[in-house]
Amino acid sequence: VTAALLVGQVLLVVLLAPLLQGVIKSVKAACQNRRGPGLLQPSYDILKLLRRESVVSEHASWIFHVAPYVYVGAYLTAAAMVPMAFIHPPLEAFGDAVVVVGLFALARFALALAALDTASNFGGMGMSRDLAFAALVEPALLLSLFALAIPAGSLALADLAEGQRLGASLLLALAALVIVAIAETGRIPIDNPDTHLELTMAHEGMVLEYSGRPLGLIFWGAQVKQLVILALVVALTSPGGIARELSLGALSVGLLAFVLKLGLFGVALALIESSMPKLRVFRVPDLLGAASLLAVLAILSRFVIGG
Amino acid sequence: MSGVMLKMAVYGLLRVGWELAGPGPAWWGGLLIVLGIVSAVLGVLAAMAEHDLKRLLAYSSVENIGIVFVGLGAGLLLAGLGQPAAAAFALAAGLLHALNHAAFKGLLFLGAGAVLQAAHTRDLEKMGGLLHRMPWTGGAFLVGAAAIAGLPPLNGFASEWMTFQALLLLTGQGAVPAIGGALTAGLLALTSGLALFCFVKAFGIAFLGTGRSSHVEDVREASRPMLAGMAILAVACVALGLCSSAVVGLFSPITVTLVGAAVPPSPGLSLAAPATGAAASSYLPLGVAAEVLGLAALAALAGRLLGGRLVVRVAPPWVCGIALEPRMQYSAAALAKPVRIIFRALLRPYRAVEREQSAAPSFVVGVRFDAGLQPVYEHRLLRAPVGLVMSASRQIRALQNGSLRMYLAYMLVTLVVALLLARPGGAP
Repeated sequence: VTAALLVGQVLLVVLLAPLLQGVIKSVKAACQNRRGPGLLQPSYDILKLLRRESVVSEHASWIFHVAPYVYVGAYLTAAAMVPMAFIHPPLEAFGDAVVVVGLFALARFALALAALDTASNFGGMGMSRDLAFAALVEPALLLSLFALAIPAGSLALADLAEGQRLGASLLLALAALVIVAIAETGRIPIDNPDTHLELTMAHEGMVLEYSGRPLGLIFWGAQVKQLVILALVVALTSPGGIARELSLGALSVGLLAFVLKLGLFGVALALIESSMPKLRVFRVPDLLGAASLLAVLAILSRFVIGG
Repeated sequence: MSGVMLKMAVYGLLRVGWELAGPGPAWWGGLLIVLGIVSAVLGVLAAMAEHDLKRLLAYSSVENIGIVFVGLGAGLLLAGLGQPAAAAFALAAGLLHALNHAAFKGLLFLGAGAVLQAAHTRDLEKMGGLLHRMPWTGGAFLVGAAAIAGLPPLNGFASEWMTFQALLLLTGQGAVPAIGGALTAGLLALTSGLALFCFVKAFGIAFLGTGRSSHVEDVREASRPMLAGMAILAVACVALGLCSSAVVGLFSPITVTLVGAAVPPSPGLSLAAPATGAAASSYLPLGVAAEVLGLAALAALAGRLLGGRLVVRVAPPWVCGIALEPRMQYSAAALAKPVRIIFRALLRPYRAVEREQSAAPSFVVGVRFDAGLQPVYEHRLLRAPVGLVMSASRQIRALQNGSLRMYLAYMLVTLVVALLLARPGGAP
C-alpha cells in the first residue's frame, strides 16, 4: 500500500506542479489585463526543453551536469514526505519536517555549486543573493515549525498537521510561513521569477548558464519545490478534508480538498505578486527578519495567551 | 589537530563540570546553550567573511563546537529538570556532533593542506578550477563540505537533526526552557544556512570555475598516501551519516555514567527522537539516500524517454558578448558581501579607497585599497578578557625562572598540598 501511495503521490506532484505554475501565471495575466498563455503552457515548455540540446560552459566540471538531477531528486523526495491527500505521507518513516528542510538545503547546495562551476559572473551574483536570503529564510521556517510543533511535541509532519487548533499562534505562524513560501518560490516582493536582469535577480541568475534538457529539469524541479512548499503550508495550517483513513472515499475527498486548497494558495501567491513592487535587494532581509519575528510571536503566544 | 584538540575542551567539561562537580543546577545547562549558540553564530559569520582557507576552517570549528555545546547544554538542562532519557538523547546529539566534526573537519583540513602544497597559497581569491587538476582531492573536499554544511544523508545532518530534536524536547518543560529552546533552534537554523553558504564559497571558489592566478597553473594532484587519508575520512563521513543510529547506541555507557539513563534505542537503521506526546519523529538516512538517488535516476530516465538522446555542446560562457577573463569571475569577497552587509552591525566592515591623482581630477595614477572587518565582538567582548589572560600569563611567567632548585621546591609544595587534600576527612 505504501508503495502504491508513493507512486501515486510522486506522479501527482510531477503532473500537478507545472499545472499549478500555469494557474499562477494565468491569474497574474488576468491581473495585468492580458490573456496570457493557457494552463498547460508550463508543461509544454518543459517538454520542449527536454528535447533541446544543452550548451555547457567550457570551464564546467561534472558538477554542472549532475546538479540538475540532485536538485530534482531532492525535491521529489521531499514531495513524498509531505502530507497531501492522506495525512500520513508515503515516506513518513524516512523523516520529519527537519529532514524536508535538509533536502531543500541539499537541492540548493547542488545548484549553487553549478552556478560557480561555469566561471560566468552572473551565476555567482545570483547564487550569493539566493544563499544569503536562504540563510535568513531558514530560521523563519524552523521557528514556525517549532511554534506548530509545541502542542504535539513532535516534528513529524502527520503530528504537526493533526495537532493544530485555530488560534493566535496558528495565524501568526501562517503569516510567517506565507513569507517563507514567497521567498522559497522566488516571487515578488523578494525575487522576480520572470527576469534575468542583474539588478534584481537571485534564483534566475543562478540557473542562467543552463539550457536545453538540464534547464527543463531545473524548471520542473523548481515547480515541484513550489508545490511542496505550498503543500507544506496547506498541511500545517489548514488540514481540513485530508484523508485520515485508507479508504477510496476518504482518499478521493482528501485529493479533491488538497487540489482545491493548493489552487487557493496559488491564487493568493499570484495576487500578492501582482499587487506589490519588488523590494530592493538589501531591504529583503528586513522582510525575512519580520517573518522570523512573527514566528517568535507565534511561539510566545503559545505560552502567554495559551493558543 | 582540530579533530582531537578541540574535543579536549568538551571532554574536560564533561569530566570536571559533570562527573567531579556532579550534575549542576539546571541553569548551568541554559548557560551552556547560550554560550554554545552565540559562538556558533559568531563563528560561522567570521568563517563567512574569511578568505584564507585554513582560517575559514578554524572559524568554522568555533561554530561546530558551539553546536556540540548546545547539545550538551540541552542534556544538562533536561537532566536538571528530571528527564534522564531525554537528557541522554541530547547528550548523544552533542557527542555525535563532536565525533562527526572530527571526521569532516579532519577531511577538510587534509584537503586544504593538499591544496596549499599544490598551489602554494591559502588565499581563496588566488584559486579556482582546481577540480580539473585535482579531481580526487576535490571530490573528497566536496564530501567534507556537504557533510559540514549539514546536508542529508551525510553525518553532519544526522547530529544537527538530533540537536533540533533535543531542543524540541525542551519545549515540553515549561515556558522558559520552551521559549529558549525554540529561539535556539531558530539561531541554529541560521547557523546551518550560513554554514551552507560558507562551504559553497570555500569549495566553489577554490575548486570550480577557472584559475584566478598563476598559482594554479601547474597544480598537480596530491600524492597517493595523502589521497588515501582523505578517502578514509570521506568514507567515514558517509558511513557515520548512514549508520548514525548504530553509532548513537555506542554513547550509552557515557550517558549512563553522566545522567543515569541509556540513549533511547532506535528501531533498525533510523534515528528516533524520544516521544514526549502522542508520537515521535524519526529520520532514516539510508532511505533518504536511496530515495534521492532513485528519483534522480527516474528524472534522468524521464528526460531520456521524453527527449531522446542528450546532445551537449561545449561553448564559452556568456558574459555579455566579450571574452571571459578569469578575474571577471565572482570572488570570495563578492560572494560574502550580502552577508557582510546584512550582519554589518556585528561584523563592522570598513573600506578605504585612496586615489593618487596627477594634476586634474580625472587622471588617476594609482589606487590604494584597503578593506576588512572590525568585528564588534572582538573589540567589545574579547579584548578585555584576552588582555586579562595575557597579563596574568606574564605574571605567572615569573614562576618559570629556569632555576632547578625552585622547580624542586614547587614539586614539594604541590606534593604537600595534594597530601593535605587527600587526607581522610581533610579538606572537601
